[in-house]
Amino acid sequence: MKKYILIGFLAVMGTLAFSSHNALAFSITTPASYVQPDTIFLDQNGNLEIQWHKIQLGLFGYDLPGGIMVSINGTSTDPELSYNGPYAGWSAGGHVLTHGGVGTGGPCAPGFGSAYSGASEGTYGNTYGPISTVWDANSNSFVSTVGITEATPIYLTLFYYNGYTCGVSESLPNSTDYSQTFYVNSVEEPVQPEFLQPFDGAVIGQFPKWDFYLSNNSTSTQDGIVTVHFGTGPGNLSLTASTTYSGLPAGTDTELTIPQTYQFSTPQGPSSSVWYADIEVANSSTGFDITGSVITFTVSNNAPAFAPFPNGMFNFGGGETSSTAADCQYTTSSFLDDPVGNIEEAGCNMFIPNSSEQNDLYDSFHGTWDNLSTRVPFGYASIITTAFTNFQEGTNTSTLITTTTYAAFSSVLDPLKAGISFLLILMLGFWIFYFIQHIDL
Amino acid sequence: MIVYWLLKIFIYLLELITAPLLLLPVASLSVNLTGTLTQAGNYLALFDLFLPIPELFIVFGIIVSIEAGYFTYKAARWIYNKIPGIN
Repeated sequence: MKKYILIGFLAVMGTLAFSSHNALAFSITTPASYVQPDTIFLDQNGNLEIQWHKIQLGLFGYDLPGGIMVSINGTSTDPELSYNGPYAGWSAGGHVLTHGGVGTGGPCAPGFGSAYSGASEGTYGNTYGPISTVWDANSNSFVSTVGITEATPIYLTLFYYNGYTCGVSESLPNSTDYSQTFYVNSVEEPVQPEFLQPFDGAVIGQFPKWDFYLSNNSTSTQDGIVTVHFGTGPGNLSLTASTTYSGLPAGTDTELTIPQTYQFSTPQGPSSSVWYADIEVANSSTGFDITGSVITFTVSNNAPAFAPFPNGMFNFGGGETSSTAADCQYTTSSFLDDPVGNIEEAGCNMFIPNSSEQNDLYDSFHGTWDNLSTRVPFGYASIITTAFTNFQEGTNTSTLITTTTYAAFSSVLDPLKAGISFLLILMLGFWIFYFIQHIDL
Repeated sequence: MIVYWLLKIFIYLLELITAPLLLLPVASLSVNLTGTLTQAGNYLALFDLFLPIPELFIVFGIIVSIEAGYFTYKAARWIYNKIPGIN
């Protein structure tokens, strides 16, 4: 018995150690002339990852190797993330992006030069990152990607260099004229707010507290300040109430409240009035500052201080709202009209969790799981798997073989990989079986 | 209802059993080391064309975890048996 308990424990711990994180993705909608990125990821550890599906190189008909300089340009209020000058990183070893991966040490670094297939245009699907740092030309050093927001321009600079030092014709000019800047159009922040009381469209009396969820989507605890802005119009949210939060648990929704002391209505005023509010989260752990969408609610003298959610709606937090569609719907008639259907429905409800219960179980289990997966020593495995995400997501990058060639061989390579995977798992099964048979406790 | 509460109790028990582990600090590595790992991942991605690298790592990790756990258990047992008066 002891043997099986130990094996079970080890299996759980082993699986836990290799649980991976989900990346937070956001899309870029505007295709560029020379680079068409699909998505830019900022994963839960603040690492930047860029995926694209098309890069055009070899302009002017030259058969040139090429690369991309990835940098970001901060605002004046964020000088540590600024990008200065088109040649930044050339001599200092900036991140040079090629089809085969990242070379550091300048344009002639290993792996550089294979982004171009020799025609006047190259089209590739590829991934860059995740990277935890980008080149900062001002400080001549790499700076953390933590702090990138939806307002941060991200520079993807295609450059075509004089290949003289790399063994290509010296007559070709250095050029970085084809830089493109992409603005992230949306971002899922590590911490997201959602109103609970009052909620959007609520009719409520003089309520004693602002009640809201903070969803921590990251894998670490978060600290910061949350402020409720409210007023009589969407452009007039001058009144505020705020509180701090610290140690916000990872991967869970936490309910917070702020005492509400403002007198919304007076006996001399109208019996009801419409108000607007939003929530600003200044998350000091990551530097993110997000303001949620504006809600509107009606304060009525005759309404209770707590507004019940409309029938048929449950609030699960985290920005999700789900209907209470019946999972066990056998009948809509009364018991006397359809006794069999009612009994069937009661039996079904007895044994099959409905949608809200399933969501609750899912959240509970993953809350526990996510909390554990960040702790020492399991958290180190999570960090490593996150760092290796680029090939976990099935991207095909190689200086040895182009994507086009890979596509041609995929009918052979994919089954080969599947076969090797199957053999590996089969061997692991045999090994565990042998281990249990011969274990000496 | 019944299945829901059975699973809920199971999750509560799981939380109770794993609660001591939450006392451990949150794992973090330096930016330089994370960057190095990322770069290593990019180089390893070359072999992902024809080898199932993630599966290799997972299988290797499971085996190492089991062996390390077994070794820890044996070491703890050995220390325990060294306590005078315990066989």
